[in-house]
Amino acid sequence: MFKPRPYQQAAIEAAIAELKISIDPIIIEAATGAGKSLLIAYLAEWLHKVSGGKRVLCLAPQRELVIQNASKYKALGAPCSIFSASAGSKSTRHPVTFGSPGTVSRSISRFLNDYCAIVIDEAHGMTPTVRSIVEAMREANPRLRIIGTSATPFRMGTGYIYRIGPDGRANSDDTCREPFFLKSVYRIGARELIDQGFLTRPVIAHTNAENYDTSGLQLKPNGKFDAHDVDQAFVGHGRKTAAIVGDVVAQSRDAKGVVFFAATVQHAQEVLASLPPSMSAIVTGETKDREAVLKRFERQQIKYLVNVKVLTTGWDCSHVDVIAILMKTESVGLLQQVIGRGLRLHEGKTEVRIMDYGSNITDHCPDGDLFAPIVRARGAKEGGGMVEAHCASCGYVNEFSRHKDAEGFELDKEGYCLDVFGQRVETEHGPQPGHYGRRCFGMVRTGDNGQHERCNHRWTSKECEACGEANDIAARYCTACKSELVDPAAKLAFEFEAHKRDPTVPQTDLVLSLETTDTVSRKGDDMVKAVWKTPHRNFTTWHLKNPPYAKGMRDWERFDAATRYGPPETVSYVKNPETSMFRVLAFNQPEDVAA
Amino acid sequence: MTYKTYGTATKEKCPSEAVEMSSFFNKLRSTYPELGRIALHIRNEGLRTHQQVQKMRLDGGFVPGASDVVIPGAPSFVMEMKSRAKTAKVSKEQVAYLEACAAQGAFTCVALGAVAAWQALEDWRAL
Repeated sequence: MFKPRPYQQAAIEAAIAELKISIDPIIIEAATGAGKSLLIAYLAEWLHKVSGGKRVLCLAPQRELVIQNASKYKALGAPCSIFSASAGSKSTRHPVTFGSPGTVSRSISRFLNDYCAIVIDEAHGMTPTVRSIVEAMREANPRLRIIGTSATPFRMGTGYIYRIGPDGRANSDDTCREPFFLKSVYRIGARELIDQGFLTRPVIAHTNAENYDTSGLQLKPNGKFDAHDVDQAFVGHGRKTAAIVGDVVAQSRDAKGVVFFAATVQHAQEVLASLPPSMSAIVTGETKDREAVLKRFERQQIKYLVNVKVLTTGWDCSHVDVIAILMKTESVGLLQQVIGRGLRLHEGKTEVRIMDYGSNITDHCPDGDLFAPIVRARGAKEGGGMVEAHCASCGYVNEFSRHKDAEGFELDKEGYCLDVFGQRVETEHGPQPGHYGRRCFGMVRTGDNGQHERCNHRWTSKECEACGEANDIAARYCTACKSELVDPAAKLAFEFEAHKRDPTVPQTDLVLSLETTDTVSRKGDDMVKAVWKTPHRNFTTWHLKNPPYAKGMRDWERFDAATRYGPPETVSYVKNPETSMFRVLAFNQPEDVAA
Repeated sequence: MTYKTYGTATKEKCPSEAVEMSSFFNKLRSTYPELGRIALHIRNEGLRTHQQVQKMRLDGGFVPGASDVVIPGAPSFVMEMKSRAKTAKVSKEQVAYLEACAAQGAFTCVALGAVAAWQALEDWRAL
C-alpha cells in the first residue's frame, strides 16, 4: 500500500477542491518522476467513491503508461480494467478502466453510460482522438469531470494548455492559445522535487568537443525542422561525431548508464560506430528486439544506449547518469522530457550529467535554468515590456505588452494613456490603450455547475449596431447576434473594388482613349488592332474587317459604328482567363459604379 | 523678438515633444472642440530622403522652419512646441517663420511643454 508524499497529497486535495465546485477541465502539473501514476490512482479512486459508484476512465497515450498506471491503481487495493489493444486487454468489467485513446475511441459506445470522469495522462498530447472521446462522453454526461496530468503542460505553437495557473494568474494570448484546460490546480516542478530529495540533480556538463552547427536549421511553418537541413547539420560529420562521442565516453568513465539522443537513424549509426561495440546498442523506431535491448541496458549489461527520439517519454531507467544530446529539438517540452530520463533516484547516483552538443539548452533555457524554459505561443509579440492593466469589470490584473506608440505616456490603472494634464488620451475610437491587450483575461465564475467564462471587458472594441454588443475590433460578425459588423457602405465599396480588379467578369468602363491600327491576321485577313485605355486598365482587342460569317460581320459593324467618329463613351469587355484575350461586349452602356 | 516664450526648461527627466503635443491636442479637443476641429499640426519633422524633400519642394507648401501648431483665426495662433528638456532648441528657420507670421499679424509663441502651451492658448483667446 502506497502512502502519498506530501506534495502528492496537496495536489490531490487541490484537485478535489476544484472538482467539487466546477465542471471545467483541470490539470495537475507534476514533473517527470513526481509519481503521476499514483496521483491518477488516488483521483480515480476518489471520483469513483464520491460519485456513488460511477465509472472512471483513465487514458494514457502509450501501452507502457496504461499498464504502469493500472498497476499503481491495483496497488491501492482496488481492481481495475485495462482497455488497450496493444496491452492485450479490452475489458470494462471494473468501474475504473485504464485505456489507450485509439482503442477506446473505436469502442466509444461502451464508455458513454455511467461515467463520471475522465483522467488524461500526458495531457499535453491532446490529440484529436482524445478530444473526440472527451466530446462524446461529455455529450452523454454534461457534468463529466476532466482531469489532466502532465510534466510539460505546453505545446509548440499554442503555448500553455491551460488558461489559469495555480497562482490564479491567467496566461495571456502571448503564452497560450485556445487552451483546452481551464485551470492548473497544482504545480510541482522538478526543482522542488530535487530540493526535497525526490529526484536527482542535473548538472550541465562542460563539453570539450566542437558542437554541431545548428545555425542553418530553420523552422518550417508547421513548427518542425526540415529533414534535409537536419541531415546536413548532423549526418556525414564522421570526424566531428567521433570527437563528440569520444568526449562523452571520456567524461563518463565512472558513469553507469549513458543515453545518446541522436538526430536521425543514420546519425545514430554514426554515433554507434564510434562506441565500444560490446558495451553499446541502438534503439530506433524500427528496432524489432527493442524490449530485449532495453532490458540488457536496465540490467547494466551494456553501458551506452543510442536512440532516435524513442526513449523521450514513457521509459524510465533509474541508473542513467549521463544524457548526451546530439540532436536539435524545436520543442521545449521534448528537451525537458529528454532531461527527465536521467532524474530518477538510484543508489549511489548523486547527479545526472547533461551533455548538450546541439545548443538546445542555450536556446530554450538561456539563463542556464533547465526548469524555467521560455514558453511562447506562435505569433506572440516581442519586446516593448509589460504593463499592468486592471479590468474595470472584474478587477483582474492583466499583464499586456506595452504598445510601441505609447512610449513616453504615463498609463492609468486600467492601462490607458494619460496626457501631461492627467487626462486619458482620446481618439475617435475612445480612449487610447497603452498596451496591445484587447480583452480581459480574467475568468468569471458563472452557471450552476461552477463553469468559468472569460470576462467580456474590452479595451478596444467595435460596437454592434444591431444589438450594442462590444466585439473585438477585428471581428466581422457580432458574437451575440451574429450580424455583420462591417459598415455596409465600406463593404459595397470593397466589393466594387474587387469587381473592378477582376477583368474575367464583365466590366463597363469609361473610355479615356482609343487607338486603332489597321493590320492583318495570321491568315492574311484585314483586321483592326484597338488599344483601349480606361481608368481601370489598358487592354487590346482585335477586330476582323468584314469577316465571311454572320456573327463576325455583326461584331465588325457594331465596332465600326461605335468608333467611326471617335471613341465611344464607355466600353463593356471581358477577359478570357484561358487565352488572356479581351473581348468587347458592347458600347455606350452605363458605366459600372458602386451600388 | 516678436514672439513670447512660455514655460521654463528643466534638467530633470520630462516627457518627449510628441507626448507634449499629443497632450495639448487632447486637451484642446476636449475643452474647445470648435478649435480642436480647425487646429493644425504641421508635420515637418521626421527623416526623409533627399528625393522626398525635393519632391515636397516641387509640390509646394513645404516651408522650412514652419511652426508646429497653427489655429486659423483673427489673429491666427502660431506656436512652436518644444519639450521642457534643456537640450530642446528653437532653430533659426523656426525663429524666422515665427517672425514672418508675426509680421502678418499672427499671435506667435514658443511653448516649452503642453502646460505652457495651454497658457499661451488662453492668452490668445483672451485677446
